[in-house]
Amino acid sequence: MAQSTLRSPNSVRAALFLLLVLAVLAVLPFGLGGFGVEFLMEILIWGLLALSFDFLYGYTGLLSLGHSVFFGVGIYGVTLPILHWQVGLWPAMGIGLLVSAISAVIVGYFSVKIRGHGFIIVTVVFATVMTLIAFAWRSVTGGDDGLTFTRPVLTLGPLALDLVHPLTRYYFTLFFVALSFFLCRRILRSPLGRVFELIRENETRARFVGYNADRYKLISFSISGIFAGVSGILYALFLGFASADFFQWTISAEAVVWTLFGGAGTLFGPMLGAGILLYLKELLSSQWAFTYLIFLGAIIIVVVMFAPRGLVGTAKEIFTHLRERRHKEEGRASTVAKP
Amino acid sequence: MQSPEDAILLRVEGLAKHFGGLAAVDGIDIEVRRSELRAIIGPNGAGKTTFFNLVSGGLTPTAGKIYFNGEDITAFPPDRIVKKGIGRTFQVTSIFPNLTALDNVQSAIQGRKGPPHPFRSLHSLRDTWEQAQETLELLGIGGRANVLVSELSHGEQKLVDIGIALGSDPEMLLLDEPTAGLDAASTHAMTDKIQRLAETRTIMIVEHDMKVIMTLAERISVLHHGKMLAEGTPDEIQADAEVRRVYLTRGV
Repeated sequence: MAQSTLRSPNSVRAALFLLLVLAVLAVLPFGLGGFGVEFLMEILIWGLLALSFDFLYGYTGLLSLGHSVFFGVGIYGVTLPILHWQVGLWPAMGIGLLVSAISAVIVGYFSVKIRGHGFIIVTVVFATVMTLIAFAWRSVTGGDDGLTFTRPVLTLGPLALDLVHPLTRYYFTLFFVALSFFLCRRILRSPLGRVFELIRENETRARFVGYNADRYKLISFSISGIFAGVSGILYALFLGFASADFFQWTISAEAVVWTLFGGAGTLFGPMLGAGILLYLKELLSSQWAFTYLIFLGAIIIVVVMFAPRGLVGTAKEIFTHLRERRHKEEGRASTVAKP
Repeated sequence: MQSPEDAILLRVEGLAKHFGGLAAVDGIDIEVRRSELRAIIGPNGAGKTTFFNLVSGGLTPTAGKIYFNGEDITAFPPDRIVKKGIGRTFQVTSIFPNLTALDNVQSAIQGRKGPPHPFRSLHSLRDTWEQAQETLELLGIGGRANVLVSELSHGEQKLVDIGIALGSDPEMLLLDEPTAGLDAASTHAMTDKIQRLAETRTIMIVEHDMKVIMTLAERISVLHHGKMLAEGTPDEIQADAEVRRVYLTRGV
């Protein structure tokens, strides 16, 4: 009876839980005011950025601070075609997706070969260089003043919806965030995802059982970068605005904090982390305009100290522990019962 | 009828590896016959592990050639060498800590196959689980299949390391100090297992335990300062005055 860790009946329960979360997110706007809906959208989009970061860090073991590059490329990839060529929504998103993918492959190609901390440095350098270019090239990017554009109409067959309407924009955003989440989850639970995990666990051993680690790291980096690009595309359409500021590596650093807070290697954790921390920031900064950062920092430190695997990671650990104990007790009972 | 050339599985010619000014391996010639059990011995720093790293692709040689099955595999990367049929274990046990023993071996079985599917579920790998289970049973740890390897004992982890190497179904198995850190009973059990593996595969083993070497090896190659000092049967090596001088008298 050969079976394996990742194939526990737990995965059915996890899928049900995720569907429940999705259902809650689908009805939540009706209980929230206009500001609440906008805020929830923002959380979903930043959550997707955190998720894309976790794809690479939590599952392949590569800490990239260059994801702001793909976020920014996604933003401009959708903004510039709308602004200059007046293209529709779908072609604009397609172009945004394509340029994020290309930029992810290029950055990945030059960085995944570098081991250890060098990798992190190279990704920061890419983000910094892109930021400098974006600020310098004002005529195209608008620099830190940015570019404002009118969102194209969302056409679905005979339907034409206006993305200016908050609810339309909300469901549009929710659809793509949920789609991205389930795609990432599918990939990470496939044989390909298993290879990513092998590299995270022991890259040398993975090479010596026949995996070209650099190639799989590039694949993981590219997929992850594409989803960072999707979050950028959604953010541009959310704001109707693009700015060179979004290339800054500090945006990737926020994704790191959300991921560690929520639990690396859990996909859901980083999104939850983004949600909780953005909400706390909103809450605390309305009370204390500047000193709120002290409180926010303290909360993060406490969570990371007492739940080193993040909120979701630690919760999972506790559940597994409880289940094992129950199994052991049941096992003992059944051995006693047997003649 | 096999020609003498076909009988040779691994042929190494003038193999050298320099680290800066240091010649860790300094012009080695070796021929290992099919289904032979060859031991590589030598004092610390003799170049044994470097030699293994060169053959398995972990290091690129400074000079020399490596032929496997008559094919030039010099400077191939590790993943290609595995696919040619050379599997290895590591002196410091090298496993995937947060996976079960079964998944550890299964991953190696998968490694020799085609590219992994990006969307199918892991259930699509079911046929390889059975194979992985058989491998673990062969090594006597079938009952530990579903335990995370980080929770296994050192001896069991060493067996998983071998199981991973066997997962890629190698024609030639390189064992780097398989009994290092094991107690007497485990060493004895390990020796038995290696003997059984040797019935179906060519094995090259680096080992410090002389008793293990003398029990297992058909031929022994002695390295010293990166050079081949002597080669022969266990009896010949024990009788070799030069070998006794640099090695045996100190070790045993």
